[in-house]
Amino acid sequence: MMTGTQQDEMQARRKRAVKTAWLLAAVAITVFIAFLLSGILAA
Amino acid sequence: MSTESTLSHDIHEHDEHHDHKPSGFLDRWLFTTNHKDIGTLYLIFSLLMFFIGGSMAMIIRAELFAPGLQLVEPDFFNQMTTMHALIMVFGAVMPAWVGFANWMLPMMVGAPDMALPRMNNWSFWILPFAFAMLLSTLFMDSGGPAAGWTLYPPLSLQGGQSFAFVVFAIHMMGISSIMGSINVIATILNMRAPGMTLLKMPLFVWTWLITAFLLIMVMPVLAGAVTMLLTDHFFGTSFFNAAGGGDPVMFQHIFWFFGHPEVYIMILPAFGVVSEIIPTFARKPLFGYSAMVYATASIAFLSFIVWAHHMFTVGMPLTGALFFMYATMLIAVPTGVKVFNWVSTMWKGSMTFETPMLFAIAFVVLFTIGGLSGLMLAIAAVDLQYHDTYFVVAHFHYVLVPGAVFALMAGTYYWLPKWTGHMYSEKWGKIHFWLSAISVNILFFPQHYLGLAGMPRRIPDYSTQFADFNMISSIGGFIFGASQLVFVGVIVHCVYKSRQKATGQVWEGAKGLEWTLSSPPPYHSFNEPPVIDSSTIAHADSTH
Amino acid sequence: MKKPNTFIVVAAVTAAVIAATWLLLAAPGYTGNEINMTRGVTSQSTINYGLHMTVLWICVVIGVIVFSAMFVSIVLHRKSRGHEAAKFTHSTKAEVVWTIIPVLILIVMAVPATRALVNMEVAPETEMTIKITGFQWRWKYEYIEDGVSFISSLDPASNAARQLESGVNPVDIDNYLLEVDKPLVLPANTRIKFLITADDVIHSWWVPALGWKRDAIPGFINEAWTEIMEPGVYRGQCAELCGKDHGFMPIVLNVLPRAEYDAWIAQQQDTQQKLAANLARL
Repeated sequence: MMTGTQQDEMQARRKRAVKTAWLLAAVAITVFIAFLLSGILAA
Repeated sequence: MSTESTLSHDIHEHDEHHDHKPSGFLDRWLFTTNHKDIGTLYLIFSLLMFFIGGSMAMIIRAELFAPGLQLVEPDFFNQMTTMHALIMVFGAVMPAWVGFANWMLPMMVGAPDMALPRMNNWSFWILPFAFAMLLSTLFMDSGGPAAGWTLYPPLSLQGGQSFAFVVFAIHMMGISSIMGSINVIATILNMRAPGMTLLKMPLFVWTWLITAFLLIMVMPVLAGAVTMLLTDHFFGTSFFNAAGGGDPVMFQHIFWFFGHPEVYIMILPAFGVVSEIIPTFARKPLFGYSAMVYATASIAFLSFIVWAHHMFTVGMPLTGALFFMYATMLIAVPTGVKVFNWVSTMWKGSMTFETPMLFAIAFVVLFTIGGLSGLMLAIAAVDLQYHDTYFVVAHFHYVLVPGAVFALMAGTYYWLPKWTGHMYSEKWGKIHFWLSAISVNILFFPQHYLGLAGMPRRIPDYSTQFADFNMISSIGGFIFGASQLVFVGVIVHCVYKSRQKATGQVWEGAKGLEWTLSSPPPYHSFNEPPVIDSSTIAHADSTH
Repeated sequence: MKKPNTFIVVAAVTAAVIAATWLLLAAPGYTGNEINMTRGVTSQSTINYGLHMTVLWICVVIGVIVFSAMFVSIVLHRKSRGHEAAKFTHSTKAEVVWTIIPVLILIVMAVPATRALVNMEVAPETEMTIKITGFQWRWKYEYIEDGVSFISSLDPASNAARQLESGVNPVDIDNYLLEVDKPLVLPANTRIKFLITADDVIHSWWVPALGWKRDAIPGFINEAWTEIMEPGVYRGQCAELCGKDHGFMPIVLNVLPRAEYDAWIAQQQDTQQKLAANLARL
């Protein structure tokens, strides 16, 4: 079975993964919004 | 082999004990957060879509079997070409790669599961709804989309009410892909076992990492573009409507800014799979591992600056055309590096030719043919002849069918014993390979001739001078379509009937963390991070 | 599994080579099916044909080299022949070589490709102008200087035959789907400017013998030019999906020697003027 430190490390990694995910989601949404805005402002 | 098999049997029994598979059908499949079950769902879904999109291709080839209209009205023909493309691109090839990613990435990097298991469930279960909605348009009064998968306005704006369903379906597919890629990146960047440094990762992991970044950059652009089409159609805006002062060419720029990376999204994981399979059956490490990684990254980078080569005929300034021509030609360099490296991997190896290897070799040959015709298409002046003819159809089908789809089949045969714990039937696998490899060339090679001789694409009927090669192509198409039933047969046999147990190692020459697990692997891949040991992974020495 | 493998590979490769050679060399002779790009009748089409053949042969040579290396390896370096796997994993020298050689090949290709594009795009002084407008699903031609204009659509015989279950065999129709009621008449050996646009959706005006196609886009006017060297009839089609009858809007050029063309245009002007006068009287 996993030792305590391993479990802690796993916990930490999962936290980092969630952070990465939010960051990437923010990038995707920014691209979408920026793109729509550029279309609206150019028109 | 036999000693190993008993050993893996023991491990198997042992793992079964620690598995906590949900017992009910709904719990197991609808609410699953397990990367393997979700991977299976993705793969089954994409196989289903492959057959739905394929039957549309059969309708297209049947109508084109002889000059004259025999079977369908031109408008329905256009719906078929449009839906065939949308379903094959977004329903068959992309979800299949996500399925592979789900199954393999956690095992390859030594993680217990994907980083975000609940989002993983969500990103799959959006898809059946998206495609149910897309397919339902075929039964609506105004019919399905008929403006081509590129949805060029103003033509696409002539579509009826069903257009809103198409746009919404594309939004859902986009959301699904973005969530899938976020999961892939989060898993690869955060969940690797200690010691699995970036430059020790298998090439499949690398190509998927780069693919996922491409997806996150371009899917929102597609979403934006179709949103603008939606408001142009239903809310009276004029982004692309020339009548209201909009710019229809701008849509093409936007679409291909998404569309060109999109074609690499479909082919980069294929590069990854082939780079796993060839070393295994050549029993020799992949030649030039880091060059392969850099080549993949440069192809991905170049994919963002070549989009306008899809639109040389719209009339762009000379400098623009020259820039896009040169940039496109440059892609030949990293792609060449990949092909040369695969050949060098085979060179002086100790090769055997099981089904995965046969598909991988066919991939290298036929993808290269598609790549070379792509180089021809890059020459802007001559593209004014090639553009929108069957030469283009032949080109992209060569890179997508014996390219991406053959790589998917190679990967399926390669990992099926790992997934199921049984060996597939090698004899029927080979029959499937030879039928597919021969018929795919009968299907697509004559289309080069048709295009050069002047047959435009997306036409339901043609002049009699094109009759012979169309008939040959259709015959090839029917054989290719029927051959895929063999594929299903092999899979079903392997899953339910095969009595030949697979060892953990499966293939003599295979290297990588996934082969250190039993076949089938435990429900949670690596509960404890594996120790990265240079004898078990393929790219332990990353100095090259 | 050992011997049959070699046999299958060799047999398949031989069959493929024979089939490919047959299709390339013999098929057009027997079937009348053209398999290559037309040389055409303009400087642009001739240049494009030459460039196409150059790039095609470069690609064929690259393909033959790569596939031969692979084939040799497949035949020699197989486990069933007892070949032991070598251990090498990379060679910087080889990798540098096969990065630089493709770059050089690309540069060699880029020079004529650039020249061809410049020739295509930079129009010389032209002597007359034709405005082409694409509609769903016909073409309108306007002779700007001469004030003549007409609409050109699919020939009625083809149109009847192409209906679903028409019962007419397309083989019995001359130039099935490539015939129009009124062809675009042009003078030979004259530099002509085209102004190409569309009224509803995007179309693309393509006559392979001229060596290019150009999109007809609503709200835009695209320019192109040509100088046709030989009188004759040249056929083409709309090349951009434009709706249900996209496959049924052909283009036919009737290229006349200059004197015959002058007579034709004078006659057209005459008829159109009479028509206008009649309409005015009404």
